[in-house]
Amino acid sequence: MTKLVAHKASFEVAGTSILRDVTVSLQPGELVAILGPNGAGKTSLLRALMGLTKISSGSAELNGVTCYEMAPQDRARLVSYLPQRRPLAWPNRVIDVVALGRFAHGAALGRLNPEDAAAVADAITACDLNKLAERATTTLSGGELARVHFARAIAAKTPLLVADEPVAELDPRHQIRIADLLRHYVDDGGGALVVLHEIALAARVADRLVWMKSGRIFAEGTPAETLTSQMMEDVYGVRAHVGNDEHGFDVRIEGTA
Amino acid sequence: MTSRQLNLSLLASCIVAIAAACTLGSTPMEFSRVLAALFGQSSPADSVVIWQIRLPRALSAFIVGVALGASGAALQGLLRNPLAEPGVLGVTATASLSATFALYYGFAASSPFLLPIYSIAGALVATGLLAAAAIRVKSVVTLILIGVGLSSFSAAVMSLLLNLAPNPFSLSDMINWLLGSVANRSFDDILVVTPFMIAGFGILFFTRRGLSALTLGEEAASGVGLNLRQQRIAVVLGAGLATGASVALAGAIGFIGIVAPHLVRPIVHYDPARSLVPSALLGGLILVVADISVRLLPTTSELKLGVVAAIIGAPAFIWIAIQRRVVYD
Repeated sequence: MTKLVAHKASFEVAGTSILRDVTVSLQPGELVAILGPNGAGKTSLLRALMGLTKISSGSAELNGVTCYEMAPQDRARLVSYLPQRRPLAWPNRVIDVVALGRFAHGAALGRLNPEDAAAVADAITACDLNKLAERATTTLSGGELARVHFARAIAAKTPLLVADEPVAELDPRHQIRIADLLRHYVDDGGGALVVLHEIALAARVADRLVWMKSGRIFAEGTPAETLTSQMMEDVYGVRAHVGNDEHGFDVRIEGTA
Repeated sequence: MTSRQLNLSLLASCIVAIAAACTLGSTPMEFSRVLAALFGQSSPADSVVIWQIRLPRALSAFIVGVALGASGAALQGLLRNPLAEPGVLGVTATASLSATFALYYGFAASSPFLLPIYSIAGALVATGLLAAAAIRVKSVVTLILIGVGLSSFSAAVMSLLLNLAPNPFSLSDMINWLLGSVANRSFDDILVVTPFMIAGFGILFFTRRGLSALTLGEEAASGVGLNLRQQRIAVVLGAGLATGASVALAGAIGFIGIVAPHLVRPIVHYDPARSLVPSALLGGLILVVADISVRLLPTTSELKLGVVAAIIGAPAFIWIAIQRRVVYD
């Protein structure tokens, strides 16, 4: 079983500590949400796990191999990555952007083999992009574009997915759609590690919440265990009312603590 | 139109243009006469005109256009900006400067390979600097400005060399590098640069898929499995070899690397991988046609190809810059 693990990972830039002794793991079948204020080290943790930065001490490993030393192609066949900033350089067609998700499998745009084409078609259907497939990405709305990027990420058909704020700047309906897509991905056997700022949404879809603050993991557990008023105050520095009934979680921010 | 149809029709057009270049000129020849000359079935005079003047000249224009079109398309893919191009980024200027040095000190006379080696070295220094800068500066606009600076600096040193030129002969030799031309090139000249061109183009050809991946931005491109470091080195090396070799053959010819990919991109759905080959072919076609017009224009002294390319290309550059949509990168 594919496993992505950071163990006591620390990361410093010019003497400033970005990550301190972070231990976290991800495997198929679970949806883990990382929560925490800006600057808590969430993106740095994902980048370390993707082998994009070299950590200063501790380990970050994918199936026992140090992430930073792994060949990008080998890594990309196991973990799909959806970064926070997703600039598209050219006004490509939706179908081509999604097909780039098959890069590690050797796919070349315009002449996909049957397996790649099937994976792309599945991803496009799952993200409800069939009607937009031939459109240029520059003509899409933010919500549609978010679905394109998500489709690109799942087209790789990797056992694991790491996503950095996949619902940022989306309206509530599109947030729910992306969250549902994430949930489907995990229910189909994938494992997802996702940075989210939408706490109620995270609590709704995630199996486990990882609370980060100042480069450390502050708490970790199921939403029911860890999503409390006290946690909101400790981690985010806000007074919040947290309700939990059969319909799910309700988080009402009342002011700064 | 599919990629394949596009490539085949461009290739056919290139062949027609090169054939036309052989028929047209101060002594127009019918196509049958050109064919006869090609296969040694004609008068010695015709044979000289075709084999030693028109064909090498047309082929030089073609391969220089191919090299510049491919380098432009690849650099644009790497830097994710349609304005990136060997000329704009200062690669051509640095290569010409380096070649001028070789001419100035007379190195070029000692071996036919030294001029291409100098100009390729100059091109590699410039592309290497740009690639190193690209890692540090995230903004492509900054990068293009660095290229503009590099270009101005090379031009300044070039002026210095011209200023200090020991005799009128070297001066006119060096001015040829500044203006850019494929007149009076021989098959020997072509053969000397061909290995470098093939190596450069071959390397760029193998970076195609990576250029597509870079559409997503560097971080996501790495995420989908692209080895960024290798990709950067390969594109820099390929573009440096191809551009350097083209400068060695024809001197500084700008803007082909911008115009050709810009025209090709919409047809291939803006895929950087699929624009590489057609950009190269279109670059070749444009230069062959431009060189024919240079030869046919009834000017007192023949216009230089590089001058014509810049006169058409620079306004096209401005036009593309104005049209460019904002990319938050």
